[in-house]
Parts: sequence; structure tokens; C-alpha cells
Amino acid sequence: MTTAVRSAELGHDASPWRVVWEMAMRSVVVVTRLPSAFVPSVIFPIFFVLAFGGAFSAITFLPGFPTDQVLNWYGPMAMLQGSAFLGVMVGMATTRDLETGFYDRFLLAPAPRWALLAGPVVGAVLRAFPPFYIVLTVVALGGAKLEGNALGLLTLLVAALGVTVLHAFWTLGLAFRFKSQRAAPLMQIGVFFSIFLSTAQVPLSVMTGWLHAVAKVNPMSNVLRLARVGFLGDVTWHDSWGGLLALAVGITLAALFSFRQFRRLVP
Amino acid sequence: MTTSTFAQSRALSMRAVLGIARQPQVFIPAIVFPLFFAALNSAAFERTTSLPGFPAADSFLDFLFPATVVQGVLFGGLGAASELAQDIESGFFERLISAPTRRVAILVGRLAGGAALGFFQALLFMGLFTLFGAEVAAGIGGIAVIAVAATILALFVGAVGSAMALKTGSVEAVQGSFPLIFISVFMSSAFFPRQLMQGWFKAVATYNPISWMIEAMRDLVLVGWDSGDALVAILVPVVGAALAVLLALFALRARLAMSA
Repeated sequence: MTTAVRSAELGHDASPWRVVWEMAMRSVVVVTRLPSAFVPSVIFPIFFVLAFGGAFSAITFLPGFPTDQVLNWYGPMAMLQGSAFLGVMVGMATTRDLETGFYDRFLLAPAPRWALLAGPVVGAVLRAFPPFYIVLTVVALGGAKLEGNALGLLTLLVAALGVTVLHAFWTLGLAFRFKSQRAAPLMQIGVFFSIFLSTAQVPLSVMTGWLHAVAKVNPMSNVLRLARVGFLGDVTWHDSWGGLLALAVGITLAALFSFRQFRRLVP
Repeated sequence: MTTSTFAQSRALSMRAVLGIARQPQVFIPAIVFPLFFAALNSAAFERTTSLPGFPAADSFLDFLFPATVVQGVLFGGLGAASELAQDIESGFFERLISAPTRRVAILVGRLAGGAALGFFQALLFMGLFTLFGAEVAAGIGGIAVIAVAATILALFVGAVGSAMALKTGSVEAVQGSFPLIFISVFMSSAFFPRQLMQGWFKAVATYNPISWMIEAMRDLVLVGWDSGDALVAILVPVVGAALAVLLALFALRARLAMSA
């Protein structure tokens, strides 16, 4: 059943939550109709797990490296990267809708504006679950071990979904601002820089020079710490609160940015 | 009036070079991203140079030098190749073949443009690395070998991309092969010494020709002049380029047969 038919069925009585749900389902259905848009979100994190785990396996011998299993370090990083790109896909899909004029139909619909923003973000969160568990399985098969058990899995899930939401809002804002698929590189570069200029590759104690200074103040380092805490030992509040705070502030700012750009799109 | 194949190839090469030069979006990412990676990795992995088994290097930047050149050339070559697909998509290719143009000159022109970009990138990277303290132990001979190898490597990736462009006629398809190049570079000893790898990854890196080329270049940078290393550094891209050009010529013939 097409989105247009579903929209007509919803009519004027649809609650905002129903609109959010239908918008989210629309982006979930794309997974089956356009696998090429989804498969990279699974393939690339797996590739990064294999490439980093394989190439840099000896890095665990460095004094101060917090684990002797390299995938305990690189697995969560690859998973966050995949989650971030799932968020980016929201912005890219929205620019496509804006360019084709399909988004104008949403704007004409009697739906609250916030629901139009929340729908694709919820969709991205739903889409994030399968890659999360697939890549986690690969990471576990590769030898990574969740010392923190269920709580460690929870902190990893919170970090991954938080990163998806953060990047979904951020790229939605960029999509509304530029209204063109040409903004795609800008969306991707944001992910690239935010993750790699942090403790993505090595801990602060190992890195040197300018990167140490940048990674120390990059909030993504805290988010990575939240994601890794269960792999590096018991989950503690000390290792978790910074990531939770970074995600909360980041998501709030990105949501405000996207809402502001949306208001510019529809005065 | 007809002109020689050489003159036509030269004219089309100039068009390709100017086309690349006028579109910064084609060559800037191929320069900026490898340099960013080099800056990032040299800060992240500097301390790994003290690991037992790591090749004797003054810094991780020295170690990364050849990998950065190869990475930049591979990325840039693909961007240049997608210009041929753009010609096909825009209909310019049809106009060229309806003119009394030597067919092979169309391909040679594009490949020469990509090779020129590769040569320029190699010189630029070597200049910038030198500014940041890196040094080629093999001296001017080593620099020349790296520049020549980079140029032939650009020819290789340009020919692969051109074959794909001629086969599919799609810019998207050519750019879609980017992950393959990305993976082939990562699955080599480009960013970390093979001596410190383990298991299946080490086996893949050992049989990956990119490892052979980069390790030969790396020896020229870190150790000094060695004729064997110089030969390997040049021979690997030469063999690859010969096969890829052959592939591109077959694809050109198929495309021309389709257009006839």
C-alpha cells in the first residue's frame, strides 16, 4: 500500500503520533524496496571491523592500551559509524523528496510540523536495529567480549541509537537548508570528522600531538567511551555519564537546528 | 582534413587535463582526504613505531608517505575516469565518434588526463610531506621512482574506470566502484606493517599487489636506494595498467559496436 493511499486513509482525524508512525514506516519500507540504500549500513561497519581489527591487531601491545582484544576497541567504533550513517540517510532521503517535490505533499498535509520531523527520525531508529545486531554478531564472532554483560549491551545500544538520532536531526537541518542532494558530501563529512577526530582509533593515552588536543574536547570521545564501557570492563557511572550528557546536548542542539531550518522552509 | 592519432590524442588529453583542472570537486577530495588521513594516522599511531617488528622509521609520517601517495592517486584516478562516463551520459562521446576522430585517441586522451593528475598529486604529496619533515632516503632517484609509479598507477585506475564507463555509460557505476578501491587499499600493508599483522588479514595483505608496490616504495623512503625495490614499485602498476588498458580497449570496441 502506498504512502499516498495510507495518507488519504488517515484523513484529518489522524493523531500526530499516527503521522509519526506512518512517516517512520515509509522510511522502513524503503529497506525492502531499495536494498542498495540500506546494505552499505551493514557492509561498511563490518568492513571497518575487519579492516581495523586485522590491520591494527598489534596495537593492543602498546603500553596503556585498555584491552588485549582489538575488537573490544574497534567493534563499538565501527558500530557507531554505521549508526551515524543511518542517520545521514534520513537527510539524504529528505533532499531527494525535496528535489522531486514529494515533500511539498507532506507540507500540504494537515499534520503537525513536528511530526514531519520526528517521523523520519523514528524511522532511522527502527532501521538501526538490524545492522546493530548483525554487526554486533560479527564483532562477537571476531573475539570481542562484553564484560559488562546486559548493561554493557544497553550502553552500546543507547550510544548507537543516540548517534543515529543526532545525525538524523543534523542532516535533516542540512537538507532543509540546502534543499539539494548536493549537500550529501557535507552530511557525510560531518560524520567522518566527528568520529575520526575523537578516540575512534586509539585511546587518549596513546595518541600524540594535535589529535590529542582535539579528541580530548570532542564530545564524540565521550560517546565512544559510553559505547565501549561494557567491552572494557564493568559498566560504571563514571564512564557513562559523559557520553549520555554529550548525546543529550547534541541531540537537543541538532533537533533545534533542524526545526529552525524547517521553519525557514515553511514560514 | 584529418590529423594524426598523436595530435588528436594530445588535443583530447589537453581537454581532459583542463576539464579536471576546471572542476576542483574532481581533484580536491583526492588531495584533501589522503592528507587528512595521513595527519590523523600519524598523530594516532606515532607510538606504534616503537613496537617490536615495526620497520625502522623516524616517524609514522615517514612510514605513511608511500601509502598516502597511492591512496590519493587511486581516488583521483577514479574521479578522472568518471569524466568519460559523463561524456557518454551527456552525448559528447556520440559527437566524438560521429566526427573523424581516431577511436583510440578518445581513450588515450582520458587516460592521459588521469595520469597527469596522478603525477601532479605525487609531486604535491612529496612536497608537503617534505615540508612536514618526511624524507626519501633513496634521494632523487627514489622520488623519481615514486612519481613514475604514481603516474602509471593513475593510468591503471583510469583504465579500469574507463572500461567501466564504456561498459555501463554511467557516472554512478564508475563512482560506485570506489568502495572496491577503498577496500583494496585497506586490505593491504598500506597503513600498518605486515610484520605486525596476524591471521587471515596478513594472508590477504601478503597476496595483495598493492602491498608489494607500497612496501617497495616504503623501502625507498625508509631504507635507501635499491634497484630491486625500484623495479617492483614500477612493475606492479605497469602490469596492472597493461591489463586494464586492454580491458578498456575491449570495452571501447564493444561500445563502438553498440553505437554503430
